Parts: sequence; C-alpha cells; structure tokens
Amino acid sequence: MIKVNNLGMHFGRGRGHTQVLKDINFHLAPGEFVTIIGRSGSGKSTFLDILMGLVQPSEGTVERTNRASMSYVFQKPALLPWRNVLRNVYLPLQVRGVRRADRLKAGMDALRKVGLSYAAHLFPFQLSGGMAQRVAIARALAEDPDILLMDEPFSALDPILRENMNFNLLSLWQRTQKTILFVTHSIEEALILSDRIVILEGGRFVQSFEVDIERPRTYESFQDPRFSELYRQIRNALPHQPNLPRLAPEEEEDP
Amino acid sequence: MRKPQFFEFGLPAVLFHRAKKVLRNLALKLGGISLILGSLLLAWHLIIFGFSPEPWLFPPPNDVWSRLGELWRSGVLQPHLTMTLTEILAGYAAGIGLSFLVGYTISQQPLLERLITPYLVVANSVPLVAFAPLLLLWLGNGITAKIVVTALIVFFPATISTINGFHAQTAMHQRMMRCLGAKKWQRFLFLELPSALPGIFAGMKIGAPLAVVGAVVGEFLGTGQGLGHLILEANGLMDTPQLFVTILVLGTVGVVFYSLIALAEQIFIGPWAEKNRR
Repeated sequence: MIKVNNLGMHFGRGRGHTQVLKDINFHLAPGEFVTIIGRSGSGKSTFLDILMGLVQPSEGTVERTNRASMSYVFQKPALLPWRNVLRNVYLPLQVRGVRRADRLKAGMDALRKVGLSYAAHLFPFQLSGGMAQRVAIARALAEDPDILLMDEPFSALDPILRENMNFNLLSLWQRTQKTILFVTHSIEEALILSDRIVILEGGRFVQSFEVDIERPRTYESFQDPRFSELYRQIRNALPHQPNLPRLAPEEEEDP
Repeated sequence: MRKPQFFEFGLPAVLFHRAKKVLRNLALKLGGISLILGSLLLAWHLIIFGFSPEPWLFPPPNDVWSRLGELWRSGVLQPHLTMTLTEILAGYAAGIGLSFLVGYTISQQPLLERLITPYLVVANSVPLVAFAPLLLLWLGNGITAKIVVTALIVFFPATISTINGFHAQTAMHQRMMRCLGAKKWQRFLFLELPSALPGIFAGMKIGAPLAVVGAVVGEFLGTGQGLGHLILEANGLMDTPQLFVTILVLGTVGVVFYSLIALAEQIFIGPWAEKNRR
C-alpha cells in the first residue's frame, strides 16, 4: 500500500545541518496495523509528514499503490471551535467539494463508527478530551481513506481513558479494515494495537518486531506471556539510562 | 433509520438556534436596562425637586420630553437625524470595510506589518478633531468630508483589532487544513476568517460609538445639517432642553448601534469565543 525506498531528510547546511531521517526502507501492507516507537525528536512526525505529502524528502521515494488515500489524526484533536461536531467531521468533504446531503450522511456515518452520533450538535468546548479525540478520528474516517496516519493521538489523555481509546480503536480497525500507521511513545499501547512495531532511533528504523499476540486483543492480552516478552525486547532495543541495568529475560519456571 | 436533514445540523440551524437564545437573553437585558433608565429618571426628578436649578441650566425631564415632542412634530429633528445616521452608517461601513482589507493584507505580510503597525498606533493616538478641519478644507463642506472623518475615526482601531484577529489562528489548525489539501480560498473561508471574527467584531464594537463621535465632530466644523449642527444651534440660543434632546438622541443612536453589532457578534460567533476567553 505504501513503499518507502532509501528515504532521507535533512534540514539546513554547514554547521546548521541536521539529518532527521536516514536510509529508511519501509512498507505498509493493506489492512496492516503498524506502530512506530521512538523518542521525542527521533523523526517520527517528520516521517508522517513526508508520507502525507506535506514535506518533500531530501532523498528517496514514497510509492503509494493505486493512489491510496490517507487521513491524518493529530496529537491534539485540532477541532475548529466555531463548528459543531458534525460540521467538524464533514470538513474534509466540504474541502473536497462534496454535496451537502452527501457530506451530512458521510459525517453521521463516521460519527456512528466512533459511537458519537448523539453528540453531532455539540461544540468542541462541550466535549471531554476523549470525545474530542474520537471526533478527530471520525473526521479522518469521513473521507473513507485507505490509510490512517495517527501521530500520538491519545498521548494527552489520562492512562485509563487512553487504554479504553486503544480498545475502541482496535474495534474500529477490525470493523473497517483500514490500514493504520500509528506513532506512540508507549510500548504497551504499541503492543496491544499492532501487527508490527518499528523502532525509530536517530533517524533510522533500527529494529522491527512482529507482534504475534492473539487477536482479538482484550484486557487479558496484557497478561499474555508473549506481551511481557516482547515488552522486554522492545524496551531493551530503546536507549537506556546509562546507569540502569537492562531488563533481564523472564526466568523459565521449573517443570 | 431517519435520514438526517442538513437544516438540523448545518450552519442555518446553528445560526437559528443561536439567534433564538440571543434574543431571549436580549429580552432579559432590556428589562435590566429599563430598570436602570427608570432609576436615572427618578434621580433626575429628585435633583430638580431637591435643588430647583434654573431651567436654562438644568431643565426638568418634562421640559426635555416636551421639547423632543415639539422638535419631532414640527419636523425639525427628522432631517438632522437622517443626515447624522447617513454619515454614521456610510462612514462606519467605509471605515470597517477598509480596516478589513488593510488589516488582512497587513496580517499576511510580516514585513509590512512591522513597518506599518507603528504608524497605525500613532495615527490612532492623535485626536481626529485635529485632522477634521483639514479634511473639511480639502473635501468641502458637504457630506463627503463628514463621512471621511467618520470612516477615519473608525478605521484605525478597527484595523489594529482586525490584524490581531487574523493572528488568532493556531499552527495546529493551519497544519490540519494543509493535511486536508485545502486551497488558499478554503483556508481563508474555513479557518482564517472564522478565527479572526472575534478580533474583527471587537474592532466593530469599538468603532460603533466612535462613528457617532466622528459624525458629530464633522458636523461641528461644517455648517448645515445633522445633530451636531442642532447642538451648536441650541448652544447659541441657550436652548438647554434642545441640547439635552440632541444629546439623548445621539446617546440612543450610539447605544442602539453598538447593541446591534454586539447582537450580530453573538449570533455569528456564538458561545465559543466567550468560552475561550474564560
């Protein structure tokens, strides 16, 4: 669906030269849920911006099969405060010049998918943080894109709500079969959501992990032995505080 | 499932429900205003009753009321009121229209903004009464000069407010619009203009009473018609009740004009701007 070849991105020249991304090769298959984990400033958002076409890469190419369409979900909901929920959701369709009746229907459909059709008439200031982010997801879904790019969409929410939002997203993904590229700092979030996790460090994809935890995932999945095993592997692949020991592999129980 | 209708959720529905709410609030406000006016009228009567000032110095309310009736019935007040209203509306429309164009243009060009804004601030702090005689000298004694005076007095504060309004949009929203592939005119219509509306309306509200001042200042300097002329005439004849009538009419015009702009602001911007200010 998306194929990235030898992608590189740098800003500035001479002393101010900064290499943000380097030698990135990446592919995203249809219906796949892939998560990128990396520290702040590791180039995650720049990578998404390049995929979205907002920024041109310095090197390499991005190929999209069959002109796959994409929508972006931001870290913050970025709702327009003067528009009610429904008018926010159908904004992408309005920009594309879709007729009123059609955009109204598509907007309501998208709201139904995130379970917020009852809130169509509310204004953003009347919504909780979780509701606002679900509206942002509905806005991204209104265009019926092939791929959803999600840049730390739940990072501003409290841990419990964040967990609930993860399961909402999983259920939505299972129903819609969208291809999702998700960015997060949280290993737990990445593990519960993804088919594959890629680690971005120093502008390079340093390691990739297949998440073979059984689907559909539930709260029980956190207790899955594979969950803790993958958690350790991913945590050890990420930079550590210099004085802290790495996580030891789980000891096998005596038979 | 019932098919959703656009008028239930679209912009017309939003504006209709908001207008209903605003009008209900307005009725409450009018009740409050009537109460205050009644109290002022009572205080006026008490001053007359307690101090018995000379009628030419401080006329009783009845004298002012009957003078208003005389001026209205004899047809003296109407042409003056019409002239002043014409100057106010034409000058205000020109001033606000120009402030929107200039404010938007300047806000899009950082260099232009850095160069011009200091001059706008200086121009705003110079009393227009000082410029008005010059304008009358250049443009003659007709209505044009008075409209220009009114437009200028409205223009400067409204422009500064409009520039601030167009700076209110956030980088996050700009990025979102770029992601949606919005064209320049769509970014203007869906993001820049709505986010600038609180600033634009703030300028319009500041401009409303200033337009009344501008029109009267112009009329003070040029002879002819208008409520300003009526004030000068009353002053010359020591006709204090007429002076009071004119001041009251001008005050009413200013309050009504300001209230209409505030009402439009509430309908078009709605509760979100108020909420964001908290």
